Amino acid sequence: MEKKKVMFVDDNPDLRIMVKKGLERISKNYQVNSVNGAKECFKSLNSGEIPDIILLDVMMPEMNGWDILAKLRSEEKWAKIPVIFLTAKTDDTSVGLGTLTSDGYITKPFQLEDLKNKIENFFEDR
Amino acid sequence: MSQVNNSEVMTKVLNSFFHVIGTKTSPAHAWLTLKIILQNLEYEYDFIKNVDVVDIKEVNDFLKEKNYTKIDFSIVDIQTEVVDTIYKEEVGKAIQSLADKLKKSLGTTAGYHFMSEFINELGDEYSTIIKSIGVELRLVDMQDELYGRVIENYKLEEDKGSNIAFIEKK
Repeated sequence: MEKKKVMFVDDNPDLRIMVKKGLERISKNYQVNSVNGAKECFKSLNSGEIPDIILLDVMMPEMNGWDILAKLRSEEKWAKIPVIFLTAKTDDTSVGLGTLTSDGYITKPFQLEDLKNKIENFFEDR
Repeated sequence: MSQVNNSEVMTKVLNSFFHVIGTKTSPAHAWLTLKIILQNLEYEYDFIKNVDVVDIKEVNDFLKEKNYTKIDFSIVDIQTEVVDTIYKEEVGKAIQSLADKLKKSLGTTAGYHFMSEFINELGDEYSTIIKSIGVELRLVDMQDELYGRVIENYKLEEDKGSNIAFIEKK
């Protein structure tokens, strides 16, 4: 089976390593590209690296996750890439609005196993 | 019944939602939220095909202005010549559906506060207008439900022997 490409966008370097190494360790189905914020995210996308799914933090400097999602959805070439928020924003308003506009909303802290299951469930349900 | 054109009512409602959502997340995300909801509403109300949000570039340009005020900007791109011929009750149903989708996404507590802010943003005149075309935001019902939950939570704490004081929610 071909590995699914996962892009993880977060400004926290420790978390970027943890999610990449952790997801790739507990599942052979994923190849994770951890990128630092919007700049690296769009650089990667512009280079033609189109992931099967994007895991997106919300609170990041320069450009937050809300704006990144809006930019992705407004560009035809990226509009259909599934996006799951992975964020410490747990208030009902953020969760509600984030769920409405994305393909999923996972709050931090999280267990790697739960993250893997959510991604798997997402692909199974499609 | 309101004498204000349908397109003016829709524009005011959508701009008010845009500004409230924009403060909760970001203006670009508010743009996306409204775009998604309007796309969904098209299946229920055919005339919504003539109501859209402006291009995201316009939102970004607007935000780049250093001294912008929200009065200067409208998120709405509307075919007035079509929308103004629709029965006002139909427009009211569409607005109701839009509000219900947002309330459902947010849940009772966040939904109540969100709708309160929306009504505040909308202002008295347009709040009265949308009510006259059948839109019922049921803030009172939501407040009752919230109040009920506060009492329920208090009872649960009391059962557990908690010393937490009950503060009545006004």
